[in-house]
Amino acid sequence: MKVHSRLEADVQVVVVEGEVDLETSPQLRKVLMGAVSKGNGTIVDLSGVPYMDSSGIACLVEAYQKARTAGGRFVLAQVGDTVLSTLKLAKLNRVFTITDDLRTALDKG
Amino acid sequence: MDHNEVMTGQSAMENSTRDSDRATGESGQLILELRVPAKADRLKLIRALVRSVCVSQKCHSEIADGMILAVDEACQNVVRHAYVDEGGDLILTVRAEPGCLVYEIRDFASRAYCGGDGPAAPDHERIGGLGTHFIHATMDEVRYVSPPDGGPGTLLRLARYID
Repeated sequence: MKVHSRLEADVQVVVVEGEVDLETSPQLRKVLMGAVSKGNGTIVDLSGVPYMDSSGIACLVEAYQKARTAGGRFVLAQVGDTVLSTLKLAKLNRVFTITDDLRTALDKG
Repeated sequence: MDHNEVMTGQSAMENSTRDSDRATGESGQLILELRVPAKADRLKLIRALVRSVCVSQKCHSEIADGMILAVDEACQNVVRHAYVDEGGDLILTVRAEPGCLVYEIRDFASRAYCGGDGPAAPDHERIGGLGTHFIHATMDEVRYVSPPDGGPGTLLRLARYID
């Protein structure tokens, strides 16, 4: 898995590529928490993520909670069907703001 | 690379009709048996093998995704909780029963770590227990059974109807 963060339109965009599981989620967590701590809005581009397990979901939840505490936006963009199904199993699709594309997410941010 | 890692997946799949005659003491046709160190870097391999089983059994993609998630989460529990400081292996066995795929995840930990069979309620404010919820939400049967050899550890049986 690869993950990096960039600043775009005054928003932190975290781009994730690859499967997120117990092995790779610590790396995702580190980048997510770093992005959220910057105080801008945070968008997580999940277009390149074909699979995410509970450890990955937990990273998203933790980052979301931190962003919410700091008053910043936290948006998931371009979530694939498999990951979206997993979020729905946890009923987190009702919690996260999820957009179909990055442009919409940036407009929300 | 760990020297005790034995993968029988590919050969087991190719010879599954012969494996059904083995005196395993278990019902169903053995499709796959895999023994690996209970480490996080093995989970990707496990998912790939389960995915291959699903393809070979012509499972619907949504059902396959659910089984991959459940098996991953169950194995993740072994990695996280079974062997605290001692290290150890897990064995994944996959069998085909009429209209059903059965997964058994076995560890040999000396201490008990699993909870009951009841599903954990999802709560985004409480992260722990989400994996258990996923397992119960995607599989038709989830139960802990006594290891067949009477030895230490835990044997988790997961079953999903695929017809």
